[in-house]
Amino acid sequence: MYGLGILKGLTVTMKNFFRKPFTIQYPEERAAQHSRFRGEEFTWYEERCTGCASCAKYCPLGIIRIVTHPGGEHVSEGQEYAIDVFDIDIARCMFCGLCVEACPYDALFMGSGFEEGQYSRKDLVITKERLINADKKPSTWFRPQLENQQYDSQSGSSIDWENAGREPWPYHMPVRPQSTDESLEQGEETR
Amino acid sequence: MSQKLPPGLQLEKVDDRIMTLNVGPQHPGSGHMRIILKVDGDYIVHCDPDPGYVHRGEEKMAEYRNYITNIPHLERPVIHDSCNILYPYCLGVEELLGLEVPERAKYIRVIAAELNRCVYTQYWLGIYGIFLGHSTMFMWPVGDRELLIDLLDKMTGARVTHAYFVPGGIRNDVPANFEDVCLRQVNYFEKRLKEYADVFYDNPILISRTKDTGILSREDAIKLGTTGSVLRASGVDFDIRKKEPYDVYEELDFQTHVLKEGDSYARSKIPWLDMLESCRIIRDALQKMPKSGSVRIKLKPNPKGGDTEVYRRVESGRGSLGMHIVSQNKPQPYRLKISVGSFRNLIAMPHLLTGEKLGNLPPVYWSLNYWPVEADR
Amino acid sequence: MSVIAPKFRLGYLIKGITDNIFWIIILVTLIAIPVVQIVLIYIDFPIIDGEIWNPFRVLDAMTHPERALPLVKSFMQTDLFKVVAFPGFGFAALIAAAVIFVERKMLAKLQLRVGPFYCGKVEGILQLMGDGLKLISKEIIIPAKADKPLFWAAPVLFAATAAAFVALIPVAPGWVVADIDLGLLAVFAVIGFFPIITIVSAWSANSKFPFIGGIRALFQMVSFEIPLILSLLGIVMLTGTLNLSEIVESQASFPWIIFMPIGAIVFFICILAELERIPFDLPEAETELTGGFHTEYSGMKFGVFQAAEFGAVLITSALISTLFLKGWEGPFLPSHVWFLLKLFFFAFIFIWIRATLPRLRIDQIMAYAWKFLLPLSLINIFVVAAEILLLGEQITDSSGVRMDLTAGDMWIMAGINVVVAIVAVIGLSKITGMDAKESTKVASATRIIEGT
Repeated sequence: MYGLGILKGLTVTMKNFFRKPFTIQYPEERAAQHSRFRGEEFTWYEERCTGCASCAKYCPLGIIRIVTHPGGEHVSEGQEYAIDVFDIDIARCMFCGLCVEACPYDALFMGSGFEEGQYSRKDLVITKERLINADKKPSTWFRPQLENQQYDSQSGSSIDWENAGREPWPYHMPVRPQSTDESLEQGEETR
Repeated sequence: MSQKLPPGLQLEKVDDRIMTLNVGPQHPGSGHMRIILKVDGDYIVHCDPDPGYVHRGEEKMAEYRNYITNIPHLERPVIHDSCNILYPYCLGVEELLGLEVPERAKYIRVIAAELNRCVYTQYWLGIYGIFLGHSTMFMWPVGDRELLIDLLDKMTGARVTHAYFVPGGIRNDVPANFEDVCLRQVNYFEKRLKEYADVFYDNPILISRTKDTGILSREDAIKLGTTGSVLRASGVDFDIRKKEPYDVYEELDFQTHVLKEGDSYARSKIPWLDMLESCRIIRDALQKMPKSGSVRIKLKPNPKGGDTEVYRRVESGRGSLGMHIVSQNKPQPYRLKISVGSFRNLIAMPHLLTGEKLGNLPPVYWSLNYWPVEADR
Repeated sequence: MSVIAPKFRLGYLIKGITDNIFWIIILVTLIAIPVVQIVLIYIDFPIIDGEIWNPFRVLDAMTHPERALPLVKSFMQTDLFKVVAFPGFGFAALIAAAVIFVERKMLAKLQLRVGPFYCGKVEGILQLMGDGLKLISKEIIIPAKADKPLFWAAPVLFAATAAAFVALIPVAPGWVVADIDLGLLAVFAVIGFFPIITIVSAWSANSKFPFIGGIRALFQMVSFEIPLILSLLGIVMLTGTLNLSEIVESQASFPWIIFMPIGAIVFFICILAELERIPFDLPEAETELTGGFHTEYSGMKFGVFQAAEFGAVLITSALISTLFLKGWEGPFLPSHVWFLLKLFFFAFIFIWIRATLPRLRIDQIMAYAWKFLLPLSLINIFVVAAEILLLGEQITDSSGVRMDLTAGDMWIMAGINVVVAIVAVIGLSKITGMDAKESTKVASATRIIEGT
């Protein structure tokens, strides 16, 4: 009948009047992210990085810039290159996580925050010092060893390079014999 | 004045009755596109859509990156439906490289694709509401969409721009208690969809606004080459998930909806019915999914395709989305052509709008399920 | 991100203060005091409650405030106070600001979100002040080919019309700015001014989209004025007066909405169309016409349009409550509180409708006015006139020949009117083809889900 359709709509709207709004008031509250969130930061463990520049090669946009020189000072055990420059330009970064996939030594992880706005474009290039001094709260994206430890990057606790573990690299190079799938999820601690 | 104009330009005759309106990019009701309208009083005499404002050269950029690093780029035409736009790409490259995707990965791909379809359609529905002046119909779908985006964030690591599919499977397995959370969210979402029927689809004003406007007959729909919900609203039962099934769609139990009228109301209703079907597909897939297994295939560092070409297509939120990949023994594709549903449906717009009232422009235009960014690639 | 400001120097501050003091002293001694002296030559001291109020008494009242009460009370009875403060401009502006704020918050709540929140410590109360300041600080852009005198005048005329409307509404017994015997007729005259202002503001902008919007606004407003006026004739026939205060007093026992349901519904819908609220929102539709007739107005001109529009919302809500819902009468609370409550009740219904319905197309709007509302209001008039003739008794007394109706007659009339309302609505909608038989077909939407 005429008018009943409108009345039905009005009652539906009225029902929603009494529901809690789903607004999250931003600066005071933040929407809860998940531990796998590929945030706008990067977590880099310089104790593990060998300067192989796989991440730079794999980046679709080519925003990682690595300059190294062979041997000598400031090298960790087992490595041969000293890293002079390690710049990531997050002004153009897509946060796709392919660099994280590429790293064979699990030295680069995605970060977990998303508030990286700066006041000038030059500050958007993350330099090596900033990477070293930042809080290490890596996202568990593509790192099943962190997920198996139940590490939650959003909970606020940092994790250092020894506890971040290292996952054997099953997806790209068949360097290990074909093992069953379950054992690959275990996260053997190989360094 | 008989000047010799370059080909493609015409001199406009000044006619007192006809007014040229530029429903341009700076218009709240036009998206990222310009529509040149010639209006006689209240009736549209000539309509000329002018897309291309968001063209970024995706296809050309794809020729400079190899098959894996192409993925974050190719998802950018539709960032919230990114799984569906990467789907034909992944299927095509798997055929090129001869890969066999594990079962669990196929199910998760189907779940992610259906979630993405819901996310996209919610946003489209919201904008349809705003075009008709119904701001509540913008707020509610966009708010409910947050739940699904949160689910996708849990699964893929990003809210939009998921970059989740790779040739050979998916990049990361789903987290631990994903199935329960997904089921709960999908059930709540379905309840909210039914509320939309009460306030929007049964609303007599909406019905009077969209019924019998922009009628696309069955023959015209096939002749013009439209696809997706536009085609199904005109009575043609064509859904690629049923006709050329890919991944595990054959084993899932769902139906496609077809309406016969072919007017804007039918076109606005089919995506909503499709969303209800998507909820069913997700529940079914969650049940039938193998509980464990690998989700990705090992690939060599720079995989090269042979000297062949491949064309695969997929039913996305807008219609059939196809990718034609030509490879010539190199890690980069030689040519990648994307055929999107939005651009193919755009050809129906001048056909439908000529002779319509000016007030019917928003309902007809947006009911063609047009996403401007995707149409321009 | 530091603010660019000159450095603070104490010498500049002291110089500024002394400059101001100097100029104030000059202005007061040279201008203000002579003017006051001249005025006092020609104007007598006011006589309030039988006592002459000379300046000594005024200064005395400043130190003993309780002696100033008679002065304040008599000031509140003057016309100046009524126009500027209480039922007039100041009150209306404040309530209009409150209505805008309530609209944004209520609309947000119906849409499951929170409206303005940050401006002002408590839930965004000062949001309007922030918006006003923002609009004042923006540049006023005038198109080159616009008609400049009309372009500047149009927002002011709009606000003036809305303000003129304020003068006619009774807020409490005795508190009307203009208590004229032709109150309702004056209301119609002022409402009739709105379409002219709209087309002037659209035409003077000299651009295509405002042109389309303005023409549509003109069509819509003019075609809804006729049912608006006709629907109120039933009340005029029953009360025999056009004075708004007397209409309120005549509803002392029962409000008119019970006796004239058709009139109330038609009037409500016509008011929605006059104010250009959703669903009749087309002339200012953003997504169809980029803003309709106020596209080219920027800055505070646009602010004046918005303020005047919400002033009109408030006034017409007040008008509906005056005519149909007993105005300022109510059991326990004082009259102006009841007035405000009823006003906000109708404003809430406007907002509720805005949250639920999309927009109608212009030809549908006009078909609705001419084919549906106009016959309905005519039916209303004829039915009420017939009832008065048949049910009432003719009385000839000192005030001439008139018809008299007892309370029982009124109740019979109420019953007949309700039945006529239902029959007329259904019948007319079937005749004019506007019934929504589609909605039953479409209710299959929910049936599809239940069936799966």
